[in-house]
Amino acid sequence: MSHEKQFDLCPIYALGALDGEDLREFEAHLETGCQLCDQEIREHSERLALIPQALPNISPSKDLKSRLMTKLDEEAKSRGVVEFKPVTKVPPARARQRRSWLPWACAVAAGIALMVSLTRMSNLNRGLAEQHERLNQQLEQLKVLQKLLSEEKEVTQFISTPGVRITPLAGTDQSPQAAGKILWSPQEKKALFYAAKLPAAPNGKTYQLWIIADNKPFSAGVFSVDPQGSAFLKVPSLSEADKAQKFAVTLEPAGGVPQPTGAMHLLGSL
Amino acid sequence: MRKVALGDRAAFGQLFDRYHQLALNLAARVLNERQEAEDVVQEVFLQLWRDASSYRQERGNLSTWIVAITRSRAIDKLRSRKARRVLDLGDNEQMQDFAERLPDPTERPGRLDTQLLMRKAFGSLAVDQRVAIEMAYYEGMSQSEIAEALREPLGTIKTRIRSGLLRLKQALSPDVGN
Repeated sequence: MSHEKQFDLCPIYALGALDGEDLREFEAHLETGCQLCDQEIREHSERLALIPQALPNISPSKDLKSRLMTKLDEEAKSRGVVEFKPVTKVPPARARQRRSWLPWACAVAAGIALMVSLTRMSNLNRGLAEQHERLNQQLEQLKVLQKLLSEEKEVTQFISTPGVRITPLAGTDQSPQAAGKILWSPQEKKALFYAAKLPAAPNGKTYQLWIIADNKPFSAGVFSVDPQGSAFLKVPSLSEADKAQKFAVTLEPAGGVPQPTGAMHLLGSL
Repeated sequence: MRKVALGDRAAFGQLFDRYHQLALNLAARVLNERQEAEDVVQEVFLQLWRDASSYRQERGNLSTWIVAITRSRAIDKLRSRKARRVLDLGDNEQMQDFAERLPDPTERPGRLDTQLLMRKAFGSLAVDQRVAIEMAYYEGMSQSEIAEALREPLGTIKTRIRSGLLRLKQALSPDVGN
């Protein structure tokens, strides 16, 4: 068959549709090293590769990439942990002698491998530091939750004590949003105090809880508030509890004072 | 590809991001079944990972290589399940597959341009040319098998394929390689 006739078969060959006697003759022609046909086939192949560009998009599964990466990992494990792929075939002995660049190429490759390892190690360290910080934050949160849980348990136990009374405290003009509650046991002379939405105490100041009995104030302790304005105070010994008429909270100098001197923020009466 | 050949997983991930849609569209068109098409895509990219070092740019661009591997694997799968679909000349839906499906306007402009260009180029082919080319391209059928399926002389099919691909060459010539 003439070259012209063979050349006409190039598009059908590139499409992969050539068969039978045509295919055998065409491949025999290619083996002669026909550059024109070779070039024509390559051009047709590149055009044919554009055909799928016309197709509408099919949505891939969301995990398609992750499944592929998992397969990659599995394959690497089954082959051994580290995979090294030679980029070039091993040359014959004579050629190898001439390739004086080979040691340099090895050195460069080793350098690249070292850099990749160092980069990975650096990323790993950064990742570990982030994990450590996250763990610390979670531990802090855990401590807060444990404290709250412990307080809740204490309150539950205290409420179940016979004779416990609950007195609400309302915010005064100083802190109209604030509120509080005192749970007290006249028999055991103990109390638990809660407050919420109190403003932060200024520097050098603290809140102080008072029991007013026989029209006299008795200090029940000082306390601070958290950033949300909440406070919790245990009063282990409330000597005047059986005579208590009112409860109050005032803002006093740090450490507390024997008699109230500052502005009142909470007040509750029996 | 050089980085992929050195075992760079990040580079491989980028390669996947760039070409998986093309491979999936092609495999899904050949197999008409998404799960099998995804299996083919996975096989293709695993092969790319393994054989990256054998890729030579001077032998053709990367998308040509990926399309060739995908098409070959998808057609192998199609043959293995012996569910070859033969296009029917009376099936208008399949006949108008390229020319009449509207492109998705949310797709990136480059891809949209190529998509429109390819549809226009295919639209310029005679219906019988297009059918013969699609049967070979998507069904993996040889010229003799197409002739038998369409009950046409072999010479007629060869002429249709050849003239159709030359027509496509004329329609695409300024844009090949862009």
